[in-house]
Amino acid sequence: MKILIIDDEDDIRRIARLGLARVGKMDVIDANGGAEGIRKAEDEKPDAILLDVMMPVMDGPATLNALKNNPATASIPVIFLTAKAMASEIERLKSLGALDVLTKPFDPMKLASQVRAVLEEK
Amino acid sequence: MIFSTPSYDIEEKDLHAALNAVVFESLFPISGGLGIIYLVISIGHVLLLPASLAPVMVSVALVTAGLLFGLRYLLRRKPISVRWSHPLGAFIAGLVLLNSLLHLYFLSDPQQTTNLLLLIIGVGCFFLSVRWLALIIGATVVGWLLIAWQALPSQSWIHFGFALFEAVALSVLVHGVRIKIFRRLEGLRMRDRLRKAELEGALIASDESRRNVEDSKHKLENTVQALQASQTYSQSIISNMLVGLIITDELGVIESVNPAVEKIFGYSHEELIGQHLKLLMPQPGTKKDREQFLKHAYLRSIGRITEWEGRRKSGEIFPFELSLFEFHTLEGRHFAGNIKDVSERREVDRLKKEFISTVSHELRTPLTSIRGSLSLLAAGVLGELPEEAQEVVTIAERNSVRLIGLINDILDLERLESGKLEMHFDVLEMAAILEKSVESVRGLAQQQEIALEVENTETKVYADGDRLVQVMVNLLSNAVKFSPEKSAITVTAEQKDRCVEVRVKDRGRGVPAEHRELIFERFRQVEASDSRQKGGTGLGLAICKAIIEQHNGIIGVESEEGEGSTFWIQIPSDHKSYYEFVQQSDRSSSNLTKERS
Repeated sequence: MKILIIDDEDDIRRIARLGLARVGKMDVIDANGGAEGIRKAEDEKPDAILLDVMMPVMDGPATLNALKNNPATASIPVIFLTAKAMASEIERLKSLGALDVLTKPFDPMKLASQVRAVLEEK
Repeated sequence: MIFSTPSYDIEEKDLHAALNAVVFESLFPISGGLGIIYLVISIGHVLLLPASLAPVMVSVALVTAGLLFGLRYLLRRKPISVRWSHPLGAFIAGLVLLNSLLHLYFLSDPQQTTNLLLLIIGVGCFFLSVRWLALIIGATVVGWLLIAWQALPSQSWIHFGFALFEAVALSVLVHGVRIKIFRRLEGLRMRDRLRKAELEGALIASDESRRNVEDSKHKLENTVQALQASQTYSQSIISNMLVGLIITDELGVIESVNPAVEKIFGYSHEELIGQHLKLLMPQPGTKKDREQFLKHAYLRSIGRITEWEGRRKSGEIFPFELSLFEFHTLEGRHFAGNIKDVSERREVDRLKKEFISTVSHELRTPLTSIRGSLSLLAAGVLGELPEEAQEVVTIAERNSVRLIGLINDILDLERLESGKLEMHFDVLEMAAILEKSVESVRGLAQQQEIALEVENTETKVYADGDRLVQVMVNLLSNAVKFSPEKSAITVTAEQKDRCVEVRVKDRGRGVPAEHRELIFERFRQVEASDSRQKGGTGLGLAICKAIIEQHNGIIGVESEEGEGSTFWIQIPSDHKSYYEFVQQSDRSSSNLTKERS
């Protein structure tokens, strides 16, 4: 399973990568922003994208919108990662077309299983 | 104005007493005068009477004179009631009658009848009582008849009898005239006295009235002064209050405002008086709106502090706190509103919350890295660590989890207090809530061999399931943390009126009385070291309280130090009760919390 992580925080990307790769035995690619993420999604065709919400220049919702409007990436499931754990925020993000929302801080030991569970459920 | 002339009716007994007094006044000069006359007569008897008669007649005259002087002395020295005036007068007349009859008898001279004639006329002039006059005249006539029958030649009877008749007639005539005159005079005098007494009474009353008026005036002046002082006192307080005070009539029309209101709303005193309160609200509205407004404000704000939005003259909308109370005066019903501009406070609150939210949010990002790194290290994902390094990393991971918990709690509390935490209410089985909650703490309880005893319940609550579970987990984990090993924790849920009471009883050290209210405040724990030794952030019970209050319920604790604690919550059992609790809790929830806790 190939997962694309889009997050402007290098450290978060590294932790997520370690959790998904070492614990979840997944193939992981990452991007440090929305534009790079879209490009890598087109090129790499990942099975799912973990997308940070708050990013400079192109934030999570804008990136999601671009991904969904791009026929090459429209079918890739997107899971948001957010530090805002409010129910209304989670609902709002889901309504934008995300498969689910995972909250920060996440446990890298459980991240892979959480991603798998979301993908299997949907 | 027509004044009625008062009639002064004289009672007969009073007039009789007055006439007695007139007679009484005559007794003293008459007894003295007659006494002197009888002394002179005694001398005359010595000089003129034959030796055979002189001793008797002189003796009689002297005795008479002595008795008269004695009477005079008595009248001067002793207080004698006027009731005795006629009897004493009769006594004097009797003495004169006795002398006259003795002269007539011993001298057998019809000429001596003249003494009796004088006596009859004299008593007519003296007495003011028909009865006593009749007695003396009767006695005189009878005495004369007896002596005349025995000692006087018959030819003199006609002449002196006729003279007696004339004397009696004259005496009666004089007596009648005198009675009439004296009755009238005494009547006038008495009426005069009564009038005078009445006038004096009126004068006294008038004086008293004047004094009363002066007293009243004095008191009134004092009262006015006290009132002015009190008014100045109150006015000074009202004028210098930082809180605005608006007085309206029962329709909400502004009657008065203090300077703070002018400052808060930006209107001058003159601009506000006579205007409806709605002028100060965001939407002035129609007449009907204005009427509805006061009814709404009355129900909402009477006797308690509520928050409203106001509109300044500049058009700026701002929050203020309002507390209404009503009072009554002769002019009718009034309302007074205490107004406090809380815009600055709200702004500070908003900034504070924004700060907490931002800080908490910004903390999450680095914490994600820290916690994630430590988890990976501790789990050995990145390779086995030396024993001591493993221990240190485990400590660091545990504390990073604790720090995340603290941030989550702070965010939860901030959202609860700002009303931003969304609640999804439904009617739920309490048994399911308890089962889920107990399951969450079962592992922790088992570590300490603590039994979790949950009594069966069929109660239902109107609640947000996740939040209620959060509360129960918090109460249960607290109970586990503070229970001795191998003890038991009992959980019960019972229907009480329109709410369900859930009780969590532990056998721990208990909560000292002085901490029972404080522990529901943020960062308050019984022992300062509890957060380190027992874990927890010090926010758990504050969050529980906020959540329960969002349910319009109440939370409290009963405890005996050293014998455990029972934390309890009461929440509405259905939708209807929830809304009834909304109204009641405004009035009494805080009191109930205090009573119970």
